[in-house]
Amino acid sequence: MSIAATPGVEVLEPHECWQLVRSAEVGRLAIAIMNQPDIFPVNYVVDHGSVVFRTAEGTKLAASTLGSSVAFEVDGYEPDKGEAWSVVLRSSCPQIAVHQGAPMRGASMERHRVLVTYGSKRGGTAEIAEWIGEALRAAGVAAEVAPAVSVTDVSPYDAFVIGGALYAMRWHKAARRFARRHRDTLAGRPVWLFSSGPLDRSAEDRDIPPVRGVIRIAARIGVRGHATFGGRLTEQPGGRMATAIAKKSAGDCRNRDDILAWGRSIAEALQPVNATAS
Amino acid sequence: MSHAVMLEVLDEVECRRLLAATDVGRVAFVGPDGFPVVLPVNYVVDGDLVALRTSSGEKADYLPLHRVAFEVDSFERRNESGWSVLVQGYGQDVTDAVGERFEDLRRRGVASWAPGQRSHWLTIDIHRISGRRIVAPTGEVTKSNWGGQLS
Repeated sequence: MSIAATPGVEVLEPHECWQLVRSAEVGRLAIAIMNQPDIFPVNYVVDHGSVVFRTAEGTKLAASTLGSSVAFEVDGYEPDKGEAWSVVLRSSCPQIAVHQGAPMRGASMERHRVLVTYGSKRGGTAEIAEWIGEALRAAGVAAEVAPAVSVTDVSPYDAFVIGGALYAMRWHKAARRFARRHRDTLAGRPVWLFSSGPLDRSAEDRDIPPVRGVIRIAARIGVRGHATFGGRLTEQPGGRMATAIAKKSAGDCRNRDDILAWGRSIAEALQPVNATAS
Repeated sequence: MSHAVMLEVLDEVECRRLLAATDVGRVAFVGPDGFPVVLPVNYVVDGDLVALRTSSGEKADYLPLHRVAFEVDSFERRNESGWSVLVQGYGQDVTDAVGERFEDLRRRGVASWAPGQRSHWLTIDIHRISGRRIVAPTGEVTKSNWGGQLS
């Protein structure tokens, strides 16, 4: 695609682009889910080469930008000069960060009790959950780890991390069921999701977007973040399908360091709001 | 501090009125690498179609027969209010489409800001249309506040 050499159209240098992006306040964020593009107008600010915008938890925008690629457009018209301009930015990995002061249940000095729960078929996802719990506890967060099927009462927890193994593009049934059964509670508290599945190292190279079912769950309860980690498949899994897959791609594709780092980022997001921030 | 920002969901009649009242919008489509692309375009509305002209290029290649989003908006910085309308539908290349309707459309033309050859006529059928208006009743609204509301 070349738009060069059209008389009257000037291709802008990157620094000019950023200057124009900084001069405006409203841009349009384009995303595509299952090949259906969508556009959201957003207010934004520029911060060190990043475009930062806010959205409420649980909105379609928050759910759909999790780990998916986006395009962002800003334009303007300057009648005095008779000039119009537009700048398009593209990103393959938008980051969702939680701004300080986000509504959180309870007093800000309270110690958070976090439940890390999971649906796991052969223990690979369970172990990822344990590692996340480890990272949270190391950061001073009271984290408990339990399989989703064993949890009946979610009321004591202030925040949740829910993980599910991915099979044939579906999140583990126990994780889905947990999210559905406790949706009212989950909707009012901070929630993070993770998926474990890809049996290759692809999850280390790029952000893998959540599968559709996870996007739907995220949209319903509102989540602070989602991550996809590589999975593990042992040589002797149960089930014919898994056996067939295991023949081709048995192995452990989980990256413990990445998982611990993700756990720490959750701990950070849960830190009490800084009292000196006023 | 709480702000009473009013978010009004617009009905279809109002959406269509606003869509017909402006001439610059943004079209989003899935580009060659599977990533979304969003570009500003001049357009006209013709019945159930949003029509635009383009040269051969990314738009001409990736809009036709694909699902497309089209957005128009207007925001007032002064009182921090505004509206946006979103159209979703299929793209078509009607450069050579036969029939009076398309001949009329092609005769009508689209006033364009950017210079250059525009050999293609593209349309987006208005399959879905939705819109929102943000009203700041007290004038106490900060811009960070309607960041959330906007989305």
